Amino acid sequence: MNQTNKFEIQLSSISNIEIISLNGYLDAHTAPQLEKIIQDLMQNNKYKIIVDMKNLDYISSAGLGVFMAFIEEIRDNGGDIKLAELKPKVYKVFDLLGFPILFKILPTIDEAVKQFEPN
Amino acid sequence: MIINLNSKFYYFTIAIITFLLKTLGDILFFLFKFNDSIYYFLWQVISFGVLSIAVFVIIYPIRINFSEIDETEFLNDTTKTIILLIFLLFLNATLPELKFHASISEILFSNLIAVIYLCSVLFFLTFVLKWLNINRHRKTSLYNSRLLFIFPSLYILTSANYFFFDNQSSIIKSIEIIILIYLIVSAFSNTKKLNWIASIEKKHKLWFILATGIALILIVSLWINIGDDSNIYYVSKKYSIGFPIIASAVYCIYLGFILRIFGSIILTIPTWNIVNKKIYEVDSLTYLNKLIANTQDFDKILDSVTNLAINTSQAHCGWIEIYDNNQNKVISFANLQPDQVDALQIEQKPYIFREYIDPMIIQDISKHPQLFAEISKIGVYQSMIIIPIQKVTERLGSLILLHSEKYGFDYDDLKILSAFSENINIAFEYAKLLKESFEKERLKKELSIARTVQQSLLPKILPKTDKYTVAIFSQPAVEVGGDYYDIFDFEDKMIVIIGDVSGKGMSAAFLMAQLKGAVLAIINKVQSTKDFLIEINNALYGKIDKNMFITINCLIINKKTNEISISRAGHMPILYRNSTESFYIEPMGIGIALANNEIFENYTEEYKMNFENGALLLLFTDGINELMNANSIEFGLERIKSLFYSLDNYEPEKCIEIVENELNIHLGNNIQNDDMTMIIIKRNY
Repeated sequence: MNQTNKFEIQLSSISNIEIISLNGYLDAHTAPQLEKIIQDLMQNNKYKIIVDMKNLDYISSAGLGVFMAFIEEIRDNGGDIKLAELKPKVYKVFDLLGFPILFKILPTIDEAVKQFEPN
Repeated sequence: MIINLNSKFYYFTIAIITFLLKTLGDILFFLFKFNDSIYYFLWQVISFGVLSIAVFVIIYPIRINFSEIDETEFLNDTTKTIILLIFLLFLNATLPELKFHASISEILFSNLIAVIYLCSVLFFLTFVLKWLNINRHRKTSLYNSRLLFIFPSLYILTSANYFFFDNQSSIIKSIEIIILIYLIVSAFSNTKKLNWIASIEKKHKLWFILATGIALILIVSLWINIGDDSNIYYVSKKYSIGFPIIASAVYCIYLGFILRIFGSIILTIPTWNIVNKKIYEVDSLTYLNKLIANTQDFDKILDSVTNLAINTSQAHCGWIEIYDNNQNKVISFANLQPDQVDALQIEQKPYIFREYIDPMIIQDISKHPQLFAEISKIGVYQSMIIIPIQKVTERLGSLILLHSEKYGFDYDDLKILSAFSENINIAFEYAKLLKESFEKERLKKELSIARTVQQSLLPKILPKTDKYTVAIFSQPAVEVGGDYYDIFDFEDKMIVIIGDVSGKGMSAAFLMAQLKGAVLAIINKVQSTKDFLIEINNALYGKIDKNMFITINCLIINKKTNEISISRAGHMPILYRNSTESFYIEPMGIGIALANNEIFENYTEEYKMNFENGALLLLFTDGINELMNANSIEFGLERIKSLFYSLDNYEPEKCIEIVENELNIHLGNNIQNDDMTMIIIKRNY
């Protein structure tokens, strides 16, 4: 389980949009960290979230599950989770699972930010 | 008759015979007026020596228990000597004057008194020797043998003075006095190893002082009374000329011994309280350590710590609080009511006790307004101790003790309570370790149950048909993933399912069981692969945790037409290999339980193609392509594809052997993180 230690999360924000930057391996062992971050954001009524996956090397089913766990509540509150800058390999995992139907997946953060702007 | 030399009866007989012979001899010497001869003197010496030794052996205890000092026994023995001293004083006062023997009856009476006196004197000697030998040290045997030499010497000196100098030699008298003084000093200095005195219980100590004090007064007054012309003196001197000096010698030894014991106890008076406290501290720390080592009940340990802390410092009440997630929690308390504890927990913000980073005595709480306000909530207490409980730099909590008076605590209390806080720390660590090992054990158990569940859900027998050969490779990870497969062989078709439920361990195993249930419920009426997946999604969507899902590939082989249909619910693509190429079949699809049936149905495709003669189908889970080596390089979809293309007409069993071998080479020393499953199907004709 050498990858469990190689996971980091950074938080930043552009206007009222929260950007969660993931780094390394997101699997069953590291998923709870991301879960907690998203929960905290929701508690502070921050529902507009972009997940920056520029540096995400691997995602397992447990990692994918995190997004599924919250998306409904976030959308009910007028927000969304948008995924940006996925590496091809990570995109493949999302794509195989059919995530592009469920989530907006965008090539850059800027485009993801634009998605939140009205019209 | 066999004579046992150790038998007291034997010595008793000797003593009686000697005494009777001596008295008989005295009467004969008296009748023949032979009293001043050297023979009478020798007669006195021998009979006195034999009788003394016999009596000493009789009253000296055979066995001495060297291991432990019994305080009560010492007190009892001392009391016996006190009674004897009183008796001797009384005897001396009431005895008629017997300077010279005037008749046989007087000789009889005088000898009887002398023997009683001899027994008494020897009792003092045995008393001192017994306790000196119980407190043996390296010089005790030397001391014993010196006494053996001194007693005869004193006897001889006195006799010499009497015979040769008519009791007038001042030199001999001086030597005698020097020897007597030496005996006092040597008894005093040979009484060592008196540490036990320091540890005597306080109430016993008072008795010790009283007993040894009275003994001292009595022995001194006896000595004054039995001077050179008391009645006992004459009786003893008549009995044997050296008797008085031997008695004096014994009194000196007794005096030296009692003086030392008395002095030692007096010296411990100023430290009584400290010693008692130290004893209590050591005892309670020992008790605490034992408790920590033997008790798995953390609460019990904490309660013991609180109670011991209160007893040691004689506080009126106290508690242990911990700081967790910015909340203070009282985890143990003593002499407090639950509502007082509640007051401490709810209203104590900010946590003022946490501000004290060193052990601290507050001798007057009223001078600290913050503390005063806090403590007033639970009652009137005027002094307090705050002991931080710390793990390296992390502040875990505090031990707090209250006293209702000002200056209720000593600085000594602070030291010992700090030691207590160390123990609380150890208890914390120990409890944590224990919990971790329980947790570890539980996880291990859970994993083994999960694996059993998983194995029981997978088919044990594979269908056998001539037309299609099926081979399966399935290898669960240490931490069970959620790989699932099933093969149903009907008359017209074969249905192959491979899937992967999200998560690991127990939760994955449960979800897999749910999936298996859904599969079994619909398998007999399945018409198409797409229908199958829609039914499964319908059965599970919204019924399992939101963060869990399942990926499935469903493959149906039409046995009559050799047409295969494939639908994919988010799972890995299926690899197809014929004589000319190998390629992935990846129809559109979405994972089970990710979307409602409307979206699911719209998005799921059914792919159909002809299963060519001699072609291979490979179904697998992501554990295969995501298998990582030590450099975090995955095995990869491309490698699977090219590996299969390189295979030439192998049977499925052989293919699996080759792929498994390649997987193992790739994995190297790394740990397999996820379940791996492969199903290979070949059309034979």
